[in-house]
Amino acid sequence: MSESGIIDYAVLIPLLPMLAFPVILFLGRIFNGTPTWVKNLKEGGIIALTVMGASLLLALAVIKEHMNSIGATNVFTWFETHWWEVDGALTDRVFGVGIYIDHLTVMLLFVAAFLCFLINIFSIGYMNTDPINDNRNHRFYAEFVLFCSGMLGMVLADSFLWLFIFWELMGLCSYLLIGFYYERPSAAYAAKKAFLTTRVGDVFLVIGLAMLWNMFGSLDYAVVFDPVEIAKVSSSELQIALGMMFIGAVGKSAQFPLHVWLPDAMEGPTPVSALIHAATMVNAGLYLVARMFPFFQAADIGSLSTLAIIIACIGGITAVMAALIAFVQMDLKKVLAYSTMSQLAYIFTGLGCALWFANNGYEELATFALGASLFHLFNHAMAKGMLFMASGSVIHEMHHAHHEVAHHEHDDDHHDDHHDDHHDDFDAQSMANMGGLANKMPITATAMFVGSMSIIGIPFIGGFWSKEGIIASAWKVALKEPVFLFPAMLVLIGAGMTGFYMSRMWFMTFAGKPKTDVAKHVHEQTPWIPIPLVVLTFMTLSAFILAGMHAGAWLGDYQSGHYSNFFSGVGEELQYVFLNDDPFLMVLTYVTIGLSFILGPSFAMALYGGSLDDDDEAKPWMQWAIDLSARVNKNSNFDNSAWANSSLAYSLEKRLHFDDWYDAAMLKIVVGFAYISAKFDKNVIDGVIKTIESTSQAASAKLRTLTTGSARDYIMMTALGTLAIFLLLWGVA
Amino acid sequence: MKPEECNEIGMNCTEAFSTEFWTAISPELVMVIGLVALFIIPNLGNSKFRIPLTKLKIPWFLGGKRFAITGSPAIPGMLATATIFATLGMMAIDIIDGSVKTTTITSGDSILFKIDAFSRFFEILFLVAVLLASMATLDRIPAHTFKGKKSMDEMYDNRRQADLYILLLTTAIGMCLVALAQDLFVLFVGLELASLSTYILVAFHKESKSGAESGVKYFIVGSVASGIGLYGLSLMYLEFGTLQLSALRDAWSGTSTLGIIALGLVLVGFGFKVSAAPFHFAAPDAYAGANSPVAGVLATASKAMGMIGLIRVLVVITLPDSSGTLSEESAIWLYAIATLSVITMTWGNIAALGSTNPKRMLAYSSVAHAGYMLAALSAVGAWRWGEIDAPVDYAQAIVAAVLFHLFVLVAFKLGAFLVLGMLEMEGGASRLSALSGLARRDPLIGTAMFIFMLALAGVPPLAGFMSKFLVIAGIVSTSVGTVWVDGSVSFSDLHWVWWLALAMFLNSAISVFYYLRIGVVMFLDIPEEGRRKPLPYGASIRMAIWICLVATVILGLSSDTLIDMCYRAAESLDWD
Amino acid sequence: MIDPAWVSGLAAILFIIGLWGALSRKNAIVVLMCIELMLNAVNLQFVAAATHWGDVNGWVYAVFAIAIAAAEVAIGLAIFLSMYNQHETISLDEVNLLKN
Repeated sequence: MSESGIIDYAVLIPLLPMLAFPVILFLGRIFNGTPTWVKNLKEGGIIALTVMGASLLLALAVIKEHMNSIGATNVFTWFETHWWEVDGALTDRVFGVGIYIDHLTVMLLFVAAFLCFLINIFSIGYMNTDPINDNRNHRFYAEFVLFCSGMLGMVLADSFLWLFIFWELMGLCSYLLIGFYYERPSAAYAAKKAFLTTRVGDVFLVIGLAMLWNMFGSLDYAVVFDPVEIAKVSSSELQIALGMMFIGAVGKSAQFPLHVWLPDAMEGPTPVSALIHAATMVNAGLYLVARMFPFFQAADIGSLSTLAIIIACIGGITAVMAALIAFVQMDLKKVLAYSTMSQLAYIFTGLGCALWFANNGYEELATFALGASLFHLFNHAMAKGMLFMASGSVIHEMHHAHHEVAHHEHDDDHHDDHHDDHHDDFDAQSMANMGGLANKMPITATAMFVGSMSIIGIPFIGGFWSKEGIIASAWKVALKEPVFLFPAMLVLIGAGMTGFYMSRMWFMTFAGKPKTDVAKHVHEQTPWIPIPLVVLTFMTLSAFILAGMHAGAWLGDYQSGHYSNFFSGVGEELQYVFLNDDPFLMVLTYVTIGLSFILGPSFAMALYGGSLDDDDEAKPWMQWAIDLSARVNKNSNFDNSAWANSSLAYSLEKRLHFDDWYDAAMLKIVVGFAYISAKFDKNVIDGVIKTIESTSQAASAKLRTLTTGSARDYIMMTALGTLAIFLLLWGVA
Repeated sequence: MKPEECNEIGMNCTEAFSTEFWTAISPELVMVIGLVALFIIPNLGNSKFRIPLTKLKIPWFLGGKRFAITGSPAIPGMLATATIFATLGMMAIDIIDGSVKTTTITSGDSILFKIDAFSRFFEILFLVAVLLASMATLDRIPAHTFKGKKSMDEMYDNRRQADLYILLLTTAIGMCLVALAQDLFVLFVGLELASLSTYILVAFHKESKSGAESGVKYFIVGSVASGIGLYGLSLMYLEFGTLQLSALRDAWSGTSTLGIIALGLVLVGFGFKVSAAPFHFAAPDAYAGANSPVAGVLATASKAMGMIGLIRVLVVITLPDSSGTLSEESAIWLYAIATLSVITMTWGNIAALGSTNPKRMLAYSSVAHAGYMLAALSAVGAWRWGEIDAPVDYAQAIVAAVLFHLFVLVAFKLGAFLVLGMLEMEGGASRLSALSGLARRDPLIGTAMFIFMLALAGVPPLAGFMSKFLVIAGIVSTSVGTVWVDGSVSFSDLHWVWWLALAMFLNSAISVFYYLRIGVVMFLDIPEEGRRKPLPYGASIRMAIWICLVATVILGLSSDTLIDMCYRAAESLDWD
Repeated sequence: MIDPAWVSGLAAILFIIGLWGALSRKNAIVVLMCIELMLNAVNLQFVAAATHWGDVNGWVYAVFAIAIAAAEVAIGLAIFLSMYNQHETISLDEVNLLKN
């Protein structure tokens, strides 16, 4: 099914950024500090932008070509062997690199390439205008393009092996980028924590891949997804293998219980949070689970339902747990981090349902659930990326305003050290210091407004089209398999909770009166930052177009290709949502909308709403929300102090003590074991190695004494050798 | 056989010294012409020859005060390099489309030479190695132009330019003769031509004690070994009445006592050339005393020359015929070669472990590599042993793997020696500390050396991995043959040759230590006193190292063309 | 004519004497002479075989072998000369700087 054409150049999509990595790094080291490099090339930002732009264009071309067809091509064959044995017959196995494109790839390719490009624009505005980053941005951009190449490579790979290789590449870059401010101990700690936690998942992933290899003899999609091959494999073994791989996905996508790294990962600069931890890398886990779909779909495989149930339950638990913790967060980025965790959990739940449906023969329902999950992935990536960028914009301007305020207060001589003092005291990321920013930062506020609505699932905007699908699928499964009631309930409750904490975030930041002086002086500055925000706002608002094109169905059926045409779809979708034939579903939909749209935000408005300063006026599409919140706030005497001071709140602030448990476990179990291992390593293993070394050196010295340096001895050995050959020849003949 | 007969069966026969003959051997002819030119051109001068009994002086250009152009000491080097390059080019054009027109050169009844895929492959191997060594020697023993004071060393160097390059050319010619030969004695003549030239090349640095000593040892042991080999040839001639390869193949019988004695003696002769244990003792001394490019040629091309001899004798002549499925007669040399190979590999690797002289270490490592190739040949012997029933493809695959290994050895082993050559240019490479901190002094050369070491160790995706993989795969698949049952084979069904593959595998693991030790020394140690400055400039030797580096990497990644060439070369041997 | 078998026997004896000499003598020149002895034995053997088989190739081989032997001697003597210049000795036992 592969025509030669644009797909032959598809390998450039991840290759160009990968090649840009050493270029930016070296040029940065050589030209560090020179004015052209800093001003014109933005310390490598322009180079990165060019490369990402090229990748984006190529990606768009590939997408256009393969919207409806599956593409696969071989990029490079290292060698072929004819010696692999499968079932007693010798078959050929090819080792190499290839590209595989279907709808899933197309979607994630678009998300990744598009967001990488936009976030690149954003980071030029963000990183290059902050003096703390001077002269080291080239490292940032180099690691940035390397990461992008990892993500793009992963979605284009045609075998689980290369998926894994790029997976690891992304893990490395995530570590480098989280620890970008390596002089800060907290950043170094966070980077280590992220790396180690995902590593735990990766160990299981490798075990899973090894089991797959053992079963199939290859990790190429072409071999592994072949129904003929799948039929030969035992389902229990396959289930365990896929379960191991799922644990890897849990680690990468920060689900319970390997979620502890994501909030700490906010130590990295905001573009890093936007890219890695909202829009691309955490989607790697989801991509992996989505790729498992053909296994579940295969007709002859046995029951893999247990795994599907586990996936859905983990999704449900994480969704609610993360939402709960987000209730009490004061740091803007941490709220978004937990929101990411929660939304990803939604997608996992949806995937779990889809996999269960597929395994048990409900083709249509499976396609629907899968499509909803993947569409939600798309919406979430767009919205969350935008939200992180907007939060970065807020934090950035808070920093600047803080500088200005500090300038005004102390108008004698300042040295840079003084500025650092102020930095430590003032937390520019805390929502307690913000408030009333809606009129001061209109573009950012709008972006966050639209993004929050998308995440909450407000009708007609962004995530709405897909979240309904997930919740509906969860309940449909629950009807068939009662165990699924647990995740279904959790997911429904979570919708309401999402409404609450997202609204809380928006109102605390943008509505109400400014809580500090700094907040009063905030204003939007560089031109680079708003561009991606505006673009993504429009994308989110236009999600209905994609919904109209039956994006869900197109994604769900991702291995064949079809899409219907334009607008007719919107009507159908609306009808499906609001006036569904099935009464159960209709009730469900309205309940969800009620919870998320009405109940949640109302509580938020009641607690945190409020109008802006007297002569301030936000843009009209936000002003109505602010006015409403002011009215609700005034009229309600909902006092949450009891909740706020309860032990539950305390636990939530401590992130449900997960970190404490893990630390204690690490300390007692792991460190203790580490001591024993160290002793064993030093005495036994090193002892063995030293023995081998000394023995071999001694043997070598002994042997070399035979080379006495005297020609006569050499001739003697020749003669002896002749004799030996005679004996061996004779003895045989 | 008569030319008419051979034309009947489709071979392309050419009588010696006919016109087609000259076209057929035009590449080798270019080399000979170059050699003659090397004799004449540096000696062109303004001498005049007086006709007796008259006062007439005719200019007779040989001798007298040398002309400035042709008397310049740089001429021999350039001439030699150009000649070899031209020859290589002519041969490359010959096989540019992938196939070689087989031409057999006869003289009366006897077949002298045969130009086919096998011989072209080896000729190209030899010429590449000698070309790289020649390019390196342009800098290693450079021709100096004097601007001020003349130093003794520089004058010495200038005087020996012509000698050196003449010797290199004769080595190349000798090796090409070996490749082309279809008669064991012709092979031996070529072998001797090349060997004699290499004896002198090893002893070339007569101004140093180690140079003189290594030359002596190499010469003595080599002469004894080739004397023994020649005696074996004569016994073979006595027994069978012919030394033609094809006739010997037909006449060979594994039961004649004299034949077995002869075989053993001949194996000694070739075993020395290949540096198999226990004939390898002179090799470390020779490599240590010779200058590095020459040592590199010894390690790669000379070894390949010996392998040609071994292949001709072991695979072509002494393998029994394929009459019936499992033949009664068998390769009687199987146990001998298998034992030799195990001893050789182990000896080479263990001895290299403790070596502190990088050139001796590389010498022992080439001993080990010779062991690997002997193991591969044992597998070919086992294939005909009668216990395994496998099609001829398997044996051809093994021989192709051996050829591939020999070829890529040129890339990284010669490359390693060339890097050592650069170190010699600034004062010697006989201690490991000479390599200290090389990566810092010259990152490119340091990295190149490290890559060569990795390739020698067999690390993917470099060429060394590919070659070792092919050899081991060949041995394993031959030892298993076609006795798959239910997709698995029990150890009792395996031919014991399989254990050779295991030994090779373990030996490769051992060898990683001393290869990586070079890397450690280069990257982590501080350069020693007197070597803190960057490496000498040397454009030509650097280019040679770069070519080797590129070849190592590319042949590892996509070696299809080369493997094809090896397969065709292996097929063109006389099987059955 | 002499029976070629006897000549072969003589050749074998010469060869063994030469080999023994090369093994046991310290003086480099004597070793060279023993090598020459070996090569001469080879020549004899070729001649005997040629007579036995009546094949002219054998004679050709013998002539070539003589030439090769001569060249080898020349080279050997030159190498021994340079060894003497450097080490001041032609005893093979005393020339062992390169070892192990």
